[in-house]
Amino acid sequence: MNKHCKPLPRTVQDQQTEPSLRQSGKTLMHFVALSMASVLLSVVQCHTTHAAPEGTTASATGGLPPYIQSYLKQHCHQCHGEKKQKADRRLDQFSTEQALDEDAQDLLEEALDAMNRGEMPPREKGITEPSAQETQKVIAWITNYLGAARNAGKSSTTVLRRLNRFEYIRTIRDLLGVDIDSFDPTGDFPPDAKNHGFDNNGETLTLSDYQLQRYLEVAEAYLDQACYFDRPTPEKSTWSYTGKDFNGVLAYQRAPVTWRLIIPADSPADQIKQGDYIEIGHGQPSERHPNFATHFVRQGGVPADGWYQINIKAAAANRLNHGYEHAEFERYQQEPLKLALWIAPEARLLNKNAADQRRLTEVWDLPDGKPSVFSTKVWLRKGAVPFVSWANGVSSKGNIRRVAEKHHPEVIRATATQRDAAKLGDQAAQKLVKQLEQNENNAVLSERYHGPRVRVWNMDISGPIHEQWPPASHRLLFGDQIDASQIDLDELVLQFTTRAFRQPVKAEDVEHYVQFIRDRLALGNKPERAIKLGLIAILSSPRFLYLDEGNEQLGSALAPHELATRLSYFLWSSMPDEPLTEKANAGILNGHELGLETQRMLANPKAEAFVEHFTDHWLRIDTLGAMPPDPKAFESYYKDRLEIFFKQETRLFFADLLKENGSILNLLDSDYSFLNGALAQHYGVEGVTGEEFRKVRFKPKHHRGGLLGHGSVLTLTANGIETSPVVRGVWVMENILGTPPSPPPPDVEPLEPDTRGAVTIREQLKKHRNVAACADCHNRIDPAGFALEFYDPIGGYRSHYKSRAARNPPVDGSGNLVSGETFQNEQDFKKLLLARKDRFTEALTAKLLAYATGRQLTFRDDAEIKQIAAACAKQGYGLRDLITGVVNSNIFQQR
Amino acid sequence: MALPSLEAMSAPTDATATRMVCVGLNFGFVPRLFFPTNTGKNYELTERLAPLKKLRSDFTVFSGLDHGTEAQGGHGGVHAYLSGVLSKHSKNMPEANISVDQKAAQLVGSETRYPSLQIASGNDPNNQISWNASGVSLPPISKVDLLYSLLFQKVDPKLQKTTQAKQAARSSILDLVKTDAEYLQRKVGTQDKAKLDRYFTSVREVEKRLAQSREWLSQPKPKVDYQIPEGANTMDFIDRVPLYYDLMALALETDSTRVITLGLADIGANYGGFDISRGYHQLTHHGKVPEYITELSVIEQFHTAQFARFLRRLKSVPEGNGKTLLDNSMVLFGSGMGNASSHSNKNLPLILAGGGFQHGEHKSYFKDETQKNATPAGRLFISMLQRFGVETDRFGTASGTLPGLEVRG
Repeated sequence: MNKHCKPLPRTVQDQQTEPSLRQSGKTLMHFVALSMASVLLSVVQCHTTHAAPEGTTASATGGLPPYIQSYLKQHCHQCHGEKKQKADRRLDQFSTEQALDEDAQDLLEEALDAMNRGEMPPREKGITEPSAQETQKVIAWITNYLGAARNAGKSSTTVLRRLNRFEYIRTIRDLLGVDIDSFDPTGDFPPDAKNHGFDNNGETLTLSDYQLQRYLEVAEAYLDQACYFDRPTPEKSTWSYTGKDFNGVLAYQRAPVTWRLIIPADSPADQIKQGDYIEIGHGQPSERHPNFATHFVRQGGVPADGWYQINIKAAAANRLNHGYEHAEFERYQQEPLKLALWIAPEARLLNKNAADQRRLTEVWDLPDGKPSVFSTKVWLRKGAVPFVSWANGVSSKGNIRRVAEKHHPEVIRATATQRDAAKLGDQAAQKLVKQLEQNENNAVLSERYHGPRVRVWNMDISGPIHEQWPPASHRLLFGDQIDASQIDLDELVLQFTTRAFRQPVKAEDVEHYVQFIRDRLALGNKPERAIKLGLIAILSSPRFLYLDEGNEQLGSALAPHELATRLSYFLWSSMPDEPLTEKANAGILNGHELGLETQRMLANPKAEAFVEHFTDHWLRIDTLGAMPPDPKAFESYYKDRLEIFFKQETRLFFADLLKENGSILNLLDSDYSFLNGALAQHYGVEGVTGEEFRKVRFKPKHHRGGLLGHGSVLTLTANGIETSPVVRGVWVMENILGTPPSPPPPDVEPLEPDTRGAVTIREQLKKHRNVAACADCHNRIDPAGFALEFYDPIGGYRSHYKSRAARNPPVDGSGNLVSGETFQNEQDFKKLLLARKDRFTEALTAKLLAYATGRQLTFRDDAEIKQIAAACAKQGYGLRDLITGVVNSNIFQQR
Repeated sequence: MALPSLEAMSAPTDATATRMVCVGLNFGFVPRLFFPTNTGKNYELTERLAPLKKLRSDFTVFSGLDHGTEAQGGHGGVHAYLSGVLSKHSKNMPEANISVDQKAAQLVGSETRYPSLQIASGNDPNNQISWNASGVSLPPISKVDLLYSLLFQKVDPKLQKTTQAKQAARSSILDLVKTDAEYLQRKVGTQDKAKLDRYFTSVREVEKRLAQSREWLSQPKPKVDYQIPEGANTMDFIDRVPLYYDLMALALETDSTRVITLGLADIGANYGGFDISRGYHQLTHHGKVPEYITELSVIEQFHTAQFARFLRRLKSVPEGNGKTLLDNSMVLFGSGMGNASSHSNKNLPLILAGGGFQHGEHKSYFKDETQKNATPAGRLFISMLQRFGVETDRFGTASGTLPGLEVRG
């Protein structure tokens, strides 16, 4: 029946696009695959590469010797031979004479991996079981053979890698000393190509003319930020604003529902004029309507780049004592009201439709009643305008309108939509509009409405604050020289290229840059301009844009500066700093010193780049939001800003393990995580409120713990609408067990689901699984997903599905692995994962190495990965120990 | 680079120029509402094709064309719409996964202000449809006002001068950095050299592009009697799409470019302004539930209606010799998605209009009656390319033109 079967050799495409490798786990494939289960069953331990048993010496010149062929014939051909080709693989066509070609090698490697994991030959009725000894011998031979074959052929080393966008930005930050939070001109860089999730693979990263052109332009923009030639020290100013200085309207002018309420209308007239505070009665997480000081906008925002101190005096009012039924305001029973501070980079971006171009910088929990002062210091670019909003506010069209219709019907006016409908002749609308006309002379809503609101008394902005002049970025490049004509060009170029190229530079190798600047001066460019052009050129040089890691043909060990660079891009996604460079200069970056540097660098705040970027790409958290949750079904995802908090939870969890050298097994299951109020509410955990994250202990009833309880993982493995056990199953196999299943064979006919009868996803999938061609793989993929069915598409716990049909069927989270082990729910399932902790440790080690080296790992790396993982296990599974193991490995220290 | 003569500049419409437009949707169409059941001249228009009724003799609707088993991938297969080759398969192909529009632009790109224009309604990574010969996807323009200003906004003479100076400086920088590339080339290994080659190629391309744009900078942009409405960038999908089409028609009419792609991806916020209650993606997974299909049809019908409007617009512009802009423009409309409900990239919905082809039929290219074996859609692209003037009988993994698709006599 298997019409997809292809005899050896498989197609060129197969081989090109899915290079066989351990780390990606192509290794599993249809052949065996997918069975996390059988890892446990492994009868054969596989430290095979060290000492091959006698008689197993392989040379890469011949084919498979008779005893291997006979083993395959006895134990494999029955399912992978002439008659049957389970999972598309047949193992009866290996040559006994000729060296195997690459396709055959790949196939053999798949078989090897399956045997190593003890999955094949399967313990099934009708299949002759080989002795452990026999299998071990075969494994040893194949291991040796493949090792020799691969050694003879292509090398597997890191290919010249271009800085990806993430690394580029951080390198620029350290090289030029500019603030990268307030200014990111790289937004339109083409996305960096990914290889099994990682976007720092030298082979995969490409360069286009478009990208190169952007490098030229962006370098100039950054240099304009960094250089302060010939500019006087800016004066520090302070602007103080009170309620009356803000935009918006006074209550009595506004009808019928206002997004912002100012000064109760029954206040005395002088108080209205004085306006000692504004009231913000409505708000959205992504605020369309900014609250800003109009004078500050008229003066053009902040007058110069620099640090600014912003102080805001604010409080919450009527959080609980508003007198309305609580249905509309339920969230405030637990959560405080929150004030958001935003930055509009330019005044024109205060426009209501420009929300996505503004930057949320702070969110503060507000006290009830008596105001507090909240302070922050932010880097602002010239022209930027800070503004505030109610971060977790109610909506004017929804909550407030409903409250008004019930409690204040006399103030309801017709909406624009209703008026339009009436004009167009809609009779019901005409009737309604006529009826509401009676309210025209009544009070307006804001005079009557007494729901929760945010009060802001003051906003003070002062700056620019510069600790030194010229600012640090200028000093980094030119010292305190602010006269461009006085710069020593030879010195500048030598210093700058040494840092930019991340290694010692000879003057004669960079003198073309000096010459270039002199030529530009001769052409009539002003000194500042000529110097900048020279620096732009250096920032567009391949020696800056690519990591120079030597020449693998001349020796595989990285030279000291190359190693420093690799370490620094691993842990910081940026260039080496001075202490690291000095150790490389001194030639002592090895052994103990390398360990010290690793610890020092992990303790540096720059290591956040590792936490963020590694978890983003290992776990694919960067894809969160690619399939946005349905805004109607999952309102809280947007209302409570869950996406950003999900990411934060996973990062904090990982960062904590890193800091404490905590056990990586916590990633499989744990009795804690890091939550704030919004997440706690989402997870059903009581007693956690406010914006701040903290470590929270779970109880069994919370059904959380480990990565599989993180909203980030559960959301990115759903499509925003419904959950798919298939997607979640594949995710677990690839990222937790390092053994991704291969995609479905190309000519499988996709099934168009007809879900009219099916109520649960399990029933829907059953329709798929009834097709024999699919069942084989899906029996292996789906179980992990079934266990996670207790979580909805945004990771909320559910015991029942919400169904369009009348009944709400209960979630069935049970399943069985192909090993025969069964589980009832996600807790059981995590226990089965924990039983595979060594497999997980190896998988994580491989992911760390792939990330650290910027290449795909291959078969040749296998033995060392196992060693690193085993050493880490022996020490107690500490994450920091694992990182140290990675840094100390040959894989890391070689090209 | 062939610079246009001054004459051509002042009278920008070259009556004989052939143009190519490709419109790509990310979710395709519900097949049974799109494909006619009978073939030939007398086929019956389906619900989806109804808006094209009056243009019947100006387009051909195809069935039985797709990119075969190697270009499957559900949403991840859609980007092969105009190339027939998945990006991840493109590495060892001579021109990677170049798309048909860029193949055409290679021929005529230097003749106009913009070698080609890529436009998209949003930034959907699955719906990147224009790919260059290095296997890099070309970033599309989504902002209506940016598109308008690129095409028609007069450049301030002062700005023009500084831009020119900047571009000249950038060209000289490119000259300079080659020294470093050569330095590295002497040093690095063989695999790295391929990466440096890509660097050199990019340098040459940017040099070319800077030169072309410097030349055009001093040429005035065409004047058109068209204004985009205030706030166009943030308008709902339903209001923005007509603006893209309008600007495309004007770009062709003024010969600002001869090659355009338009990617229509997810509909964005506010349900795109459609009267529906679920997301576009959600609706495509309708599970055959009638109310879902009804809502999905609202969006799909909008797509064919807008396309029809665009064709009518092109048809209304005379270009000499009794021909219209539509006669001189081959317009492809369709998707790399065959059936979003099942994530199938087979049997792609494709319509070709204008361009001087013999139209008016529904042509089926299934190889047998089971409707399982389709013909490579790349053959349609070869027919288009040949008509465009590109001498080739191979494209992507396909070879030979599409039999039965004739040029109008």
